[in-house]
Amino acid sequence: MQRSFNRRVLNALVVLLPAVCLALSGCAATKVTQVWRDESYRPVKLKSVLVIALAEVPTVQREIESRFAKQFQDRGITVTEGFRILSADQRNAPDARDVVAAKVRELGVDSVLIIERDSGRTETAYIPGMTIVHGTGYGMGGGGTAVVASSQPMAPTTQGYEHTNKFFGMQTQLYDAGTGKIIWFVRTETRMSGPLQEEIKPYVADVSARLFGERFF
Amino acid sequence: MTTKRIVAVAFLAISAAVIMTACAGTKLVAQWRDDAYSGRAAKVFVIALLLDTRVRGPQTLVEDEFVKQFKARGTEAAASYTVFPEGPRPTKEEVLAKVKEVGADSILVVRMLKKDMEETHTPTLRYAVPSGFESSWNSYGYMSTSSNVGIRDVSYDYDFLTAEVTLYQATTGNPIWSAMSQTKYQQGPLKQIEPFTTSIMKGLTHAKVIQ
Repeated sequence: MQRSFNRRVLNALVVLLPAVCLALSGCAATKVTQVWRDESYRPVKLKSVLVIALAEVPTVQREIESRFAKQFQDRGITVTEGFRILSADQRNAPDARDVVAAKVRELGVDSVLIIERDSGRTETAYIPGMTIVHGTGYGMGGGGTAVVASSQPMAPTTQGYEHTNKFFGMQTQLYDAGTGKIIWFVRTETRMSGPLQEEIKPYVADVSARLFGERFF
Repeated sequence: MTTKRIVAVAFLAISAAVIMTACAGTKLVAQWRDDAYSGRAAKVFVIALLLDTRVRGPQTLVEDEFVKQFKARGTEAAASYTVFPEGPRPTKEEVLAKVKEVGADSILVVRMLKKDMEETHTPTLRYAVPSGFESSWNSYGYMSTSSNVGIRDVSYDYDFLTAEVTLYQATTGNPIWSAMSQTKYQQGPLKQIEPFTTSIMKGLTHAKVIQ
């Protein structure tokens, strides 16, 4: 009896586990759409980085830079957040690249991580209307009442509607400060399902995990 | 009025009220805090930058509300309109000089980023209720008709204000906390000043940068 029960549980798990894994991966908020690395790049381990997020709103810029900074600090890598050394005017100036290059030399960092907004998109899905129909009187008990009850729709009937998902794209690029060349690049797409703050945290965690997996640092 | 009609009207009224309340108010959609900062602001100089030129009115109301709520939480505060006359925005140097003069250790800048208009639409929800259900138990077994009652489509426009609020340390000029907020409203923005300020104050208190 017990053995039969265990077998049934095991069979259920075998069927359910892959389904759960598939469902979870399908629901991940951030997806990598493109990744590239310079295969010819054979560096000594990078030890310091300047993080610059190019965001329109300073709060978002600082939040992204600080969250990346924490990821680097946790791994013992020296990190400088862009907002601490570059003013908004400097970042938006036509010669911003030269200003950053000068700051890189001044700080003596050996890499620069640049995060910027990529094109986003919206996806509209049509959710059809739904009517739940059940026979009136079913379950009421009393003698023959259920037999003669009609099957008029009781409730509820909903109209079809459109649901729009918003996605924002991001590009994260790692540069070698010595040569000024890009050595790693990832393009991601994140589904907006709540406040922006809630999306930044998992986005930074996902991209950081991928970056550290490349073993540049 | 029959029972089913009363139920339908009540349901409609409650749903509309829930939808309207759920959509109004201020949300902090992004927040940042400098973890390296461990102090708390003792006196805050409040500047609201709502328009390119400084005009009394909304700016005064916003600054006054912040000053009132700071003081209610035991933090001293001063409104910028009391020291800067109407006219063009003061420069950074002018602000810093005044901040020093009034003895503030922090500067709170409220900046309006954009105003949008959006529409919310909730589709119809229909209930088919068997007629005669409530009037007679005896007729229950023989009913064959139903009548539709329902909640009508709810569709309304609302305005959407996006603002950024930043708290700076006066001595260094560095930001120590900031938030991006979104405020939805329907009946004029002035009514949103108090709840907007309350949301920002909660954010500041939660981040432990004020008393």
